[in-house]
Amino acid sequence: MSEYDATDKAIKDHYQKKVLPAEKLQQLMDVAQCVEKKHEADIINWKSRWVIQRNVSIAASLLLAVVVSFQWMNVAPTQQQLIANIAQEIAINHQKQFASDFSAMSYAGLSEVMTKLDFRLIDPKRLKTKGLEILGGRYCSLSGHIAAQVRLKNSDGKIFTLYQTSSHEVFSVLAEHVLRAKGVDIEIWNEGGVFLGIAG
Amino acid sequence: MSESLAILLQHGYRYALSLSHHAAKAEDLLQDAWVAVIQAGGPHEKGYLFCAIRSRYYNLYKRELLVPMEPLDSITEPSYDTIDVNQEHEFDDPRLGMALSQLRGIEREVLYLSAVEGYTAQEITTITGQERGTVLSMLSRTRKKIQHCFSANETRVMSHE
Repeated sequence: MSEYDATDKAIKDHYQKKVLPAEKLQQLMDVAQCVEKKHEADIINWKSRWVIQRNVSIAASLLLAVVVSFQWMNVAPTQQQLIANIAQEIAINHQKQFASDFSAMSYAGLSEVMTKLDFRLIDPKRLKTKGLEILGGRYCSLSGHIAAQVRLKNSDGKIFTLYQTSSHEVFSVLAEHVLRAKGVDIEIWNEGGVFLGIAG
Repeated sequence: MSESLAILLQHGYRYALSLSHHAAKAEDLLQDAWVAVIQAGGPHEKGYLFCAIRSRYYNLYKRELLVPMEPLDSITEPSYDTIDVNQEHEFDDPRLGMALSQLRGIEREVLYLSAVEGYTAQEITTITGQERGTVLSMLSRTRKKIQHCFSANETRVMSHE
């Protein structure tokens, strides 16, 4: 054995005799167990919190999706729904047969007296051949927009009501339609920047 | 599990003792490092624990260099020159205890890692961050210092007789 080996052996023996006191050793092992238990408890808590948060997030997302879908269905009705709603509104107005508030023999004359309208009444091309006589007009509304209801009478004495409102964004996209609502024949169309509907 | 943990802690204590050459400081170093290892969820491995002990020892060492501190319990005790080394450091062989006390921390650390833990010079290089050549020459010089200390003590003992 060399001198160095003997020195190393002496040092090894020397250090190997050193031991951590049993009390201290137990204390450190207890610390390990205590911290690990806390760590496990933290992990369990974290996992349960995460599960709750995840479930809440999913529920909130679903609720939001339902609300948005519902809103979308209500706020942005399809074109068919919009036409059906307008037709219903026209049919109800037609069936009420309210008396006219303004008297005039022409659309231009009615426009002069119905000053609250934000558009000028037009003489619809498609009605020119039908020989309809203007009886008078009154204010009404279509889908929340101010409109004019013009009472007309044909040669047989049948009463028609014509509705005119400015071609707002909601109306301008509607295609021409002929339909029946509440037993009333209705025709709607756009012409010269005005949305028109006739019932009778 | 608990047996392997006890063995690991004993290794850690001896390593801390090699660095500090002081039983109480070694216990404190081990405790600090051990709690840090557990809280960090670190592996219960010797290398990891040694690394934690080492960084704490050198942090303390640097702090003591900046702010010299005297332990309260040392005030009532006799000075180092007059005390029995065996009693102070709980070392069995006073000559070896004396020799080790005269070494620097890094020298004791390198010697411990080589002689007790059986690490190679390359492994010690990795642990201590010293160059391999430095580790080898430090080992050689440290062993010589210890032998010199032994022989000096023996001469002193013989002359007393």
